[in-house]
Amino acid sequence: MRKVLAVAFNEYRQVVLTKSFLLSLLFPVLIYGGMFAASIFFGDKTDLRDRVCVVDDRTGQLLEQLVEANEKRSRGSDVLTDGKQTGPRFVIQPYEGASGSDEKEQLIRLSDRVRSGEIFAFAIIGKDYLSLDGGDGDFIQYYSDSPTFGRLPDWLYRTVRNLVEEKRFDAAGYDRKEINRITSHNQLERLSLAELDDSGNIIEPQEENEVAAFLIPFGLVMLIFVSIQMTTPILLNSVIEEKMQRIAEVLLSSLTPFQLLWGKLFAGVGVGLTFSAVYIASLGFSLRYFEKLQWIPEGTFLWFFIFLVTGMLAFGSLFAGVSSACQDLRDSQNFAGTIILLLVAPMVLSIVTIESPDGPFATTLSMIPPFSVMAMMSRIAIPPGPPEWQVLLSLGLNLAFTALVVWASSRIFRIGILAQGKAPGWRELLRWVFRRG
Amino acid sequence: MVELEQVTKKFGGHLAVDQFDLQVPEGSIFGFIGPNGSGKTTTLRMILRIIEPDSGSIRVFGRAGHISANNAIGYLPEERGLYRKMTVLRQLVYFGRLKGMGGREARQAGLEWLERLELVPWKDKKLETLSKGMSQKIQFIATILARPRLLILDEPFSGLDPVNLEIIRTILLELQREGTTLIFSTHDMHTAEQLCDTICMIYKGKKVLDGTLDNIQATYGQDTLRMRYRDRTDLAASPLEGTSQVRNLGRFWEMRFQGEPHAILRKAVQRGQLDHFEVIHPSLHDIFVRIAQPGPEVTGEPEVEASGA
Repeated sequence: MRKVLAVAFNEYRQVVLTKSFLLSLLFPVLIYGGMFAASIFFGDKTDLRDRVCVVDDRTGQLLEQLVEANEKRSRGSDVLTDGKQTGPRFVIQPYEGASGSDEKEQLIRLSDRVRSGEIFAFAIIGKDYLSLDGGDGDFIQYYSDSPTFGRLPDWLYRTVRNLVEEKRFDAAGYDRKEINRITSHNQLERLSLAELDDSGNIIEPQEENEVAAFLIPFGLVMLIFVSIQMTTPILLNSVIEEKMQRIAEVLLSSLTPFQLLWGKLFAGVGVGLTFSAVYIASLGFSLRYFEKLQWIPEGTFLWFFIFLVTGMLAFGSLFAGVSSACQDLRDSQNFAGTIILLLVAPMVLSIVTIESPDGPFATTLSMIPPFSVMAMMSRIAIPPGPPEWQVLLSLGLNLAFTALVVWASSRIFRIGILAQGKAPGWRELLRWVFRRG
Repeated sequence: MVELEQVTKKFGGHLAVDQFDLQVPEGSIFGFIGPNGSGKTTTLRMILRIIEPDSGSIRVFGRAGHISANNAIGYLPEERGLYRKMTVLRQLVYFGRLKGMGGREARQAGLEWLERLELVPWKDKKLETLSKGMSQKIQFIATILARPRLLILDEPFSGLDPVNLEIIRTILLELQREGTTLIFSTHDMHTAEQLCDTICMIYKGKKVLDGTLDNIQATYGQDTLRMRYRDRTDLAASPLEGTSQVRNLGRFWEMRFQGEPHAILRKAVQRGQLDHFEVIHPSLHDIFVRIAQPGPEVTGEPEVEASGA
């Protein structure tokens, strides 16, 4: 076992201490860390400069109320929190030029004022904007040099739309307030099922988030895919290097092919676990920070690592076994393509399993290794999750499949690692599995 | 120390080693020679248990069931194998740990050997930055780091300059004095003659020579002549009567002879200004060539089985 661990430690270290691997670990830290840092350090440091907007109200009926609405906004929660300014104020200035005389000249002049920083934006409300019959002047336009700043145009459109509706209701003789009262309603709330805890008390149903309900299982499936994808080429490259550089013979004078293979597998699993642990920790920490940990069913992360390990062992040993039979990376690509298909298929199919996690397709797929690793993971991550017996059965089948693949791969490995010459085909590899001696 | 009995190994239809017997005495320097493809590497791999024989038995240190993971065997393969991207000392520690050493112990031993072979300045350099000769020495250190009781060396001196060759030879002799048994696989007959107590030759999977150099040479008898002419006498164009397989070695002529050497000496004197005339045993090189490339004169020569192995 000491020798297996020596191989594992050496190979693990060789991979984990590379710049590319460290960068791949930094990615989630940068993303999530950046989010926290932004919310903590910049949360109360929003750009609070006044946004001056010149409005050319060609209807002649909206500007005054627009200014009033803006003053109301400046006193509201969009701008103030506990008396302290937390959002930018808008300043609505009427257009003072000759409206509609020379539109091109007007646009250029106002655009220059925006470019010079004198004003933030300008808007033109067409003369027919209030008309029910439309016309050339039935428009509202917003011009700015800051396309990403959405608060001002959003507010402007919403406010003008309300004013226009109000005026139209008045003109038609309807009571706007009454109509609002009749048509007002709350949004649909999506909640999980009610449950009783051990003491018989009702556990409050949790609010469901449609996006999270898809993204979390899909993200976990992707993480399994990426972790295995990261691990297996490492095994492939190290085996090929040891064959090409004739290191394998030196190694095999010190330990058995079986020990060597297990050392490599441990290293591969270690690399995959390190990688996924950083991502899972980042995800868990983020959800906890935003108080959304309830989006992940209990035990999901534990099952994630258990299924990930079985997947990495199965695919890792398969890669190590076939690469031991190859002389160079080009040889190994023929085999790698087929194996990667086995990996990609369940990842693509997970979209179906996520949509209908308790359907017959998802249930069947989650029982067939190696597809079951991802299929079952996606089912586990969607509340309320599959019945426990299904998870245990799937795990049992996976473990049996993994044991079989590791055994077959080790049979190939013990012959392949010393074999020279043309790389064998799949049929020849199968013969190696059952060859005696 | 190492005993092989009726060992046979086939690869597909090819018989690589055929009912091979071998005995390597403890503490000896054992030369294992043979042409390319004769079964040397297969035999060595079987001794190391990297591959298993189809039949026959192999005993190392008196045990039949030893595994390739035997920490007491050091193996230097002909084609050197080290990690190009790994630093020198890390590499040595890794190979030491694979031989059962602790990390600290392997590091200490690695540093001592690097010091002795004047490689300390390169200890933190990646192997790919080192010259071929330096890599050879690193591989040699990795082989002997754990002080093995049995050392199996496949062409240990190839690629080494005379200075480094002498250093390695000295270390090997030191190890032998300390009790290590050495098995050399080599094509360099001169080295084998100089270093080895006992020599075994394998040819087409079978043993064709086994014994001490003296015994082997005695079995072949004194059937070789060595001559040197002061002038440019050419013996190859028209060999002296009673001689065959004439070879120009530069300063000397060597040939096999049959009959009375005095009669040949008289004829040799008549050919030119003869300075040197010697009746000698065939060299190991000569014996190797005779077996591996049998000419018409030596075909059907009986196998030599000298005692002493």
